[in-house]
Amino acid sequence: MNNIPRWYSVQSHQWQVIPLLVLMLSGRVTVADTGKTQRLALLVAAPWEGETAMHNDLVAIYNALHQRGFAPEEFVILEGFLTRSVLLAFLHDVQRRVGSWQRGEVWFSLSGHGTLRGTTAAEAQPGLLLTNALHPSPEEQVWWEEVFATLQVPAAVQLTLLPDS
Amino acid sequence: MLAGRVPANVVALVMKAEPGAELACRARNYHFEHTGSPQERGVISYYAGQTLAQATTFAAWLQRIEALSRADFQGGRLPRFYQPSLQLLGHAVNRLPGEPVKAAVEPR
Repeated sequence: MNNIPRWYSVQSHQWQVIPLLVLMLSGRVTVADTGKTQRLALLVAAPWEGETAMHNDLVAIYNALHQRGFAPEEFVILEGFLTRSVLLAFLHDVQRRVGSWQRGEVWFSLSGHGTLRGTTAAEAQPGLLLTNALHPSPEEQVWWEEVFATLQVPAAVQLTLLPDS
Repeated sequence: MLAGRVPANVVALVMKAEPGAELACRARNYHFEHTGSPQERGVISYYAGQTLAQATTFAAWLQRIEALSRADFQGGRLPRFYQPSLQLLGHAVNRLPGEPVKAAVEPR
């Protein structure tokens, strides 16, 4: 079993973004080892500079899921000023973890900002906007179709999605 | 905007797209009272988190969210502009992950 980091924290300075991956809670015991339902909670907070709501949201959802019985080792958390590369790498790590599950539950809540491309409801593509720049670069946007394509949660695993963006 | 764009195994709690409304992202933040002080929160996450622990199914969760946000609006704690309009995508009758916390029983 791969030992995957459980808490990714991304920090930034005023003019540059310095990703800092911090390993916390490097649990080695998995739910598969204990015979319980396989489950994982992904909590992502993607604030813009100066925003605190996303962190507060993340803490509140963590506490609510903990009340429902989720153990600390069943959480993977990504928080900070994110880029497309960092977010997709995080989701890819999660995919490696859940991709072989025969059944189970994945929770995915994300607190951040939304964006759209397209001009009509029929063709509009929803996504995540990772910067408040007037003209965001491709590295500062992620589309939901890319999120699902990266996660590839197995069909027999229920994915609960709570996007606050 | 996610309606019709999620995989079959997804159950999602998302903003409801109003018919005829322009394309826009409408998730909002609001300062809710937290231990006596205002705390900035995403409106969806706030109500989702407040009601998640005790909900059994996704449908029951949404009902609790609607009831709580309506009570906050009627009690003057939430302006109408911020009141969330949400919908479930996927199987609303499914049980939420984990086990619901039983409400404390009031002593007689």
